[in-house]
Amino acid sequence: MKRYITSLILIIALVSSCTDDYLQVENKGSLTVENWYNTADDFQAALNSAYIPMMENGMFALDMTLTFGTFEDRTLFENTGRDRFSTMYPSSGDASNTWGSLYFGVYRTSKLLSMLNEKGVDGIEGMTAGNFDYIAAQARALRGMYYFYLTIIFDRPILYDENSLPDNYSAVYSNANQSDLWNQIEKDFTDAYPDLKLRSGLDDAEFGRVTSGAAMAQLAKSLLYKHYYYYERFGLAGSDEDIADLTKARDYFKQVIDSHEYALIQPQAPKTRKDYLYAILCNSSFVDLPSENNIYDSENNIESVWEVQFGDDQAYQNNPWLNGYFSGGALNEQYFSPHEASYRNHEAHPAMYYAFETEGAPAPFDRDPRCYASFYFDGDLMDFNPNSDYYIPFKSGLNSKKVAQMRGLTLPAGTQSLGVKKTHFPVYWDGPLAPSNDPVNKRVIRYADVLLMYAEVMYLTGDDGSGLDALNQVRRRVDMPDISALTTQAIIHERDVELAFEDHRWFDLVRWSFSLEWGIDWSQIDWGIDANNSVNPFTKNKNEFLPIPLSEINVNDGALKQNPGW
Amino acid sequence: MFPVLLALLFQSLLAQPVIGQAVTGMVTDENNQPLPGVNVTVSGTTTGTITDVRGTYSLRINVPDPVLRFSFVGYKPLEEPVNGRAVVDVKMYLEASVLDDVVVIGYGTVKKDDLTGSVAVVTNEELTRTPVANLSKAIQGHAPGVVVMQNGSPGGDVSFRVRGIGSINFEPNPIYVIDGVVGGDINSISPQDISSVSILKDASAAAIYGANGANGVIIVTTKRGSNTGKMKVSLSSFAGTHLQPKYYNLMNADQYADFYNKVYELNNVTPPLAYSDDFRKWYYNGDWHKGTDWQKEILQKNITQNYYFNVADGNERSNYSISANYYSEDGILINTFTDRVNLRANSDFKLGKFVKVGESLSLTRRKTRNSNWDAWGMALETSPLMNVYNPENNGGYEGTQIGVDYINPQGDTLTVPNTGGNDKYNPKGIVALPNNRDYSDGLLANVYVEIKPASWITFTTTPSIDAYSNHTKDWTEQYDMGVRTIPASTLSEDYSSGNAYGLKNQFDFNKEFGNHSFVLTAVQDLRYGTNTSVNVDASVFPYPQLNVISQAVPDNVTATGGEGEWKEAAYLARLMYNYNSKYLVTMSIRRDGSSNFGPKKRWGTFPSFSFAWKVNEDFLQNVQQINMLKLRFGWGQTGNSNIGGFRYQTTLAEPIHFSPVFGLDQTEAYALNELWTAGNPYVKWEAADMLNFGFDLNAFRNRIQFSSDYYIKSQYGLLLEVPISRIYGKWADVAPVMNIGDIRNSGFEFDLKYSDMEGELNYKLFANLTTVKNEVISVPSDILTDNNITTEGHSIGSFYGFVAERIIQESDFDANGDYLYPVPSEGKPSPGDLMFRDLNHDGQISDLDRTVIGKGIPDFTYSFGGEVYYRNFDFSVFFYGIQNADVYNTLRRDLESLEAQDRDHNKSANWAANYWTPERPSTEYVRADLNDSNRNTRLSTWWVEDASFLRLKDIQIGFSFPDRWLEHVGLGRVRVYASGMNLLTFTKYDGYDPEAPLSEGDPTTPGVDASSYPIPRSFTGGIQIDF
Repeated sequence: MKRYITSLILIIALVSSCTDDYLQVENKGSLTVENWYNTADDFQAALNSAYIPMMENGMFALDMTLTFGTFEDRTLFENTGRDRFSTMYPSSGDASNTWGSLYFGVYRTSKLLSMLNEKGVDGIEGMTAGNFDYIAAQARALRGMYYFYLTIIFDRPILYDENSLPDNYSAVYSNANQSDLWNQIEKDFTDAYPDLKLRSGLDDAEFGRVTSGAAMAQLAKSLLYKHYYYYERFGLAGSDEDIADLTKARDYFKQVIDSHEYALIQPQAPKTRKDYLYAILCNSSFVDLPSENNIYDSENNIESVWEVQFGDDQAYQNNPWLNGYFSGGALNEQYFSPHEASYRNHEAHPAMYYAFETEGAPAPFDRDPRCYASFYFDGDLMDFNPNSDYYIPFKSGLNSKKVAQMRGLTLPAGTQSLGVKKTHFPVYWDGPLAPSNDPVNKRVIRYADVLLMYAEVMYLTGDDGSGLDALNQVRRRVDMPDISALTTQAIIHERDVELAFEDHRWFDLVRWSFSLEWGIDWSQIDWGIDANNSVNPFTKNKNEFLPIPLSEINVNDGALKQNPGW
Repeated sequence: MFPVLLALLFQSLLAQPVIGQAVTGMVTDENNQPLPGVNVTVSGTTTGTITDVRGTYSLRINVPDPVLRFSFVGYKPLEEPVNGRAVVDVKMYLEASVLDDVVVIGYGTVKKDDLTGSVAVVTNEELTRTPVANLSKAIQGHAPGVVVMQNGSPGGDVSFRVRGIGSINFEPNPIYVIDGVVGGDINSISPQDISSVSILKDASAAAIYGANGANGVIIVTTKRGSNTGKMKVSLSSFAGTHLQPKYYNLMNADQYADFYNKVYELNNVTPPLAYSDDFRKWYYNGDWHKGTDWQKEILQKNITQNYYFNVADGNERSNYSISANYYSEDGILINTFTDRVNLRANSDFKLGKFVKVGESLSLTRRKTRNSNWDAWGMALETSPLMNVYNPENNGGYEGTQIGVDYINPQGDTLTVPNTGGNDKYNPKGIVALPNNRDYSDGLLANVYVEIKPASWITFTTTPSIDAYSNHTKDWTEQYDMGVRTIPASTLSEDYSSGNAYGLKNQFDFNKEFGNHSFVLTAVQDLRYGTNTSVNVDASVFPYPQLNVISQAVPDNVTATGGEGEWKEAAYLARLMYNYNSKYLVTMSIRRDGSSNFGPKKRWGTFPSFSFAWKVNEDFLQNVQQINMLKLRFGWGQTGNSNIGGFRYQTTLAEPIHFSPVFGLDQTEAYALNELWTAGNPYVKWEAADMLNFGFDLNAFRNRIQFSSDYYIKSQYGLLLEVPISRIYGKWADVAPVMNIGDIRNSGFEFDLKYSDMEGELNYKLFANLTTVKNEVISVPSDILTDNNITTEGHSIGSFYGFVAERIIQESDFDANGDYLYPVPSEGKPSPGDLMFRDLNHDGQISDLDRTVIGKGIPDFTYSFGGEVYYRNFDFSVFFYGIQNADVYNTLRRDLESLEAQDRDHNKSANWAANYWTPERPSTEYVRADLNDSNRNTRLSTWWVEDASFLRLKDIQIGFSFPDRWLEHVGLGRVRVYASGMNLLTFTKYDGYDPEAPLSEGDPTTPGVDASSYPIPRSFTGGIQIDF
């Protein structure tokens, strides 16, 4: 009996000792934040992840086209919902995807900058002063980009930086002032560009990183936008600050132009039809385009100023439909391309076709050659390569979708619809299904856009002739005759035709609409919606911006105000 | 001499009674009260009678050496040799199972009579009566306070809720304790192996499991050998088949073509050529008017079978029970299947005077083949114009939107997409082609050593292991089905395995001092678990007949894997005291630590107290009808530690989720960032406080047993992923967790059993009712999913949507065509659209007009039934029902509405014939137009249905072979039966089945019928044999 009790006591003593240590287990699955941010490699990995939000569905992978590309008047979405803005409401996924993607960017860049500040060059294993500044500059430029889109999309989003990083989950945040947002954008780019590399200074492996030219172009673009989104909108146009900002915009654009880092891709002699088209299309293609005698560089070519990179791996997974969120790239191909198995959600509005000039078009064209780079007509080959499965003619009405026709719009003779050719030439995937990822890099700013924005800022500040010349440079590439005077109409038209389907049109319309001078009359914009829905879907002082996602309004407990009208 | 001889002769005459001799007698109970209605039979014959109101009987004997057999429900059967007597009086005693029933509770047992907590007990008989797959399904309706919901997939999981839903982010599943060991998978146990199941419902009972007890504790005790020295061999088997319970009334091919031709015409679009009579006649292989009935195509003929074998034997020193079970079930859906093999060996040995050792060992292998359940929904949307098969396609099935060369009546050759605008899957191909298998193996074993140095002290140590391994292998060979083609074969394999080792050391002190009885239990319980997993995806197999990973093109193989471990430690003490078995008190306290808890909250303490008073022993002694009236009160605290590991750490994403590319050759760059979990070092168990009031009443010689409980279970500190602003750069669905939610479940439970007999008819009746009021007391902010909201003052996961008033008519527009009511933000509605209520009176219909419009948690569940025994026949019925739960029927929504997205989907025939048109202004059916600018399909009351149902779960008739048939073949008992399950369902619900969608989804999204596997009707026959 006694020995039982003794042994029992022993057993208990044995098993009950040190149970607190017993309960400690290691996390074998994940790194934790506490034991990271130590080496230069850690910071490089963090920087790389700060580029990802650009590639997210909420941004350039999908929503830039799916949302803003369908809001504009040059595309028809297969059903009228998106054309009518009716798929956009405070709880809709599009709003929160875009918001979320952009704040991934803002947070990662700000966290990175705050950790750089906290550790200092000497506190980071393997870090050099040059690399330290280069990492910080890229982070700043990226953050400037994220805030730029936050501001023009959501008007008054939440503002923070590396010194006010949100870390208390129970805090509530309110809308920033527009002026603070614009100042932040300007500051980020201004701080960034001196430490960034020139395009010509990039290693082959570095393309896709922000360059000083890209940062400067985006800085100038931001200042130009600020003129409309801020000064014009709030009746401050013409103020000293406005003039000063426009002057800065002009100088930055000029600096980009004068750097000779960028150029328009010109059709090469002998200029065949293909040379004209490919000189344009190479700026939205994923493979170099060979004409009869020449080859046109595509991704990261000399015309590209800011380009979001999407991998060319054919990330082909179990479910080829709606997959491939991160790794490879965008889903535009799957939604919009003329691929047999694409949803073909987009069709071009015939009005876009008629916007291209006929007069002065170079032979063999009857119309501005850019027209034929913009659309597929029935019968157009969808690849240049005879060995491709898509070396076949474009055919209207796949899946019974002939949207323009259904809506009673007048199409050019010989085609039953206008397919969107830009970014979809050649059709990427030879297989029977649309791919799960899209290899096409997204050109956010290309040099032609820089020239046109320069022309616009010159128009606003008083042209010395260089603005007109910049615009005419864009026309001369396709041998369209020069225009003689820089007017709002000329700028509107040139941006419309040059940048068709490149997701600029919506923001152009919105920003010009803040200024009476540009004559944007929303009631006259033709979205091409059908007879059943003839009411103009646009509500002024509402549809210029997206609603702030309802979930954000909710968690910020009344402090964050919804945009008007939503 | 002669008188002696005479006496002998007389005696022998009596001993060898004359055929036809009468025997009479009286049957009384232990209190010498006459027992009427007792069944009296002469063993081995069919002769029998029953006692009258005075307890007397009279029989004629016509066999030698007669033995009388007395039986009466609730009493121990009695056999009495006549031994020549003419008068045989007997006394019968109440069956031990009523008075001395022992209930297994946590870390011990207690006489049922002496229970102070709320414990539901389900017996082997109840579990095995209905021929079902597993324990969860068998428990449904048999345990008040436990709500079991299931779907119809073979071996499919069930939702198992003890007293409501008390967790939001974690499955509020009870914990399972199998033969004293926490863990294991109750659905891998053969129901026939179970001797009893105890469900600890209130905290006073469950608090003994501390941080694991908040969602209830299910204690399963398996059969052990008896010590009677009689070997028992049992065999049982059943086989049956399942049938689809219901079909939607869809358009046939003619109706479909006609419908879409009209819709296209309405929208000024030329309809696809595929919808023309000529094309259809030319294309369709079969009755082109009817087309394909996809709902039937996806079904298969099926069979369910079960074989169970058990041998048990034992004596005073040792005993064993060994069993084997094979169960297999085909689903009604093609390619759904499960089978299960169980082996079990339990034994006990006495070693000398003080020591006893024993073991419980069970091995399980389960195989499941799961197909694409979405097929239930796909079968509704695919065009009936499409052929089922196409031998020219890889895989053999027809696909949508295949361009076929068709020569029209004018002689032109046209390429026409075979299905017009319909681009859905071939539902049959999609279920028949993939081969998805899921294997899971389980080993659950414990060995105990019990040392009893004195009669009042016991020490038991129990090491245990709970090991599992799962392997899934999903293979889809390349196939062509038009636009839904899979151009490359894919293989996905997952392996995961884990072990949980346990060590339990327990002391029991059991002592009586006069009328004071004490049982003191002290336990140390340690657990340590590890798990590991590997997942491999591979695609493109040049030789698809070799579907192993190594045969995939190497570039197309990706692998992931992980590893983890966890630990738990607990110390507990419990005192059970009673005075004269009249006043009973139980107190317990448990201290629990877990590696899941944050470093600042590693340990929690969980106390409980309960008290019971047998009122009848103080006040109602003279009321003979009342055998027991016991009042119970209990209070306790428990927790839920199943909160996932490492939620206290802020972790970085796995690199696999990132790969930006840079450079002219677009090379992936390594990237990492904090994105995943946001840590909270204070993270701890979810806590529950429970109060329970109850009483048990046994009356009329224990024929009536009634008990009732009222409980309030407040669960607080629920771990919620606090929705944080996305400006924190965290992944939206992996937000930080904090112990902040607060939920209350309260309800009544009633359980009534009655057994009696009239004449030769024995019967038992039972009924029970469980109410649950689930209310969210506080959440930091509403948790909104696509359809559900968890918000204060409502049930978890209530439906959140618009109130649809009615269908808009032309009279709702003024002469200018202006709509007279609030306009949706999306744009002006048209006649035939749904009118939504402007709840916030802002003059427009927007997201702000949403409100709670239903809930997927029933107000109450109930069941009732009975068993009748007449001679060798038995018959039983069992009804189960729920009341006041809603289901969002997205299938009906899709079938009774049209928008551009589901253009060319098949629709309800009824809707197609009755939808709103100016000529036919319906008030029940919305219009059919490709342009649904009003968003009629949004979640509104229009599509939420009352899913209350009452179901005939089981109806059964059995026949036990008479003893005289069996004597000669050496069988003890043979029973055959036929059973029909789910034959009738009374419900207003329009879908396939109201229960399946209620069983699915996580706690915050119950009751959405998107494509739930309906519970089939089934017919089963079975046999039970004891040797």
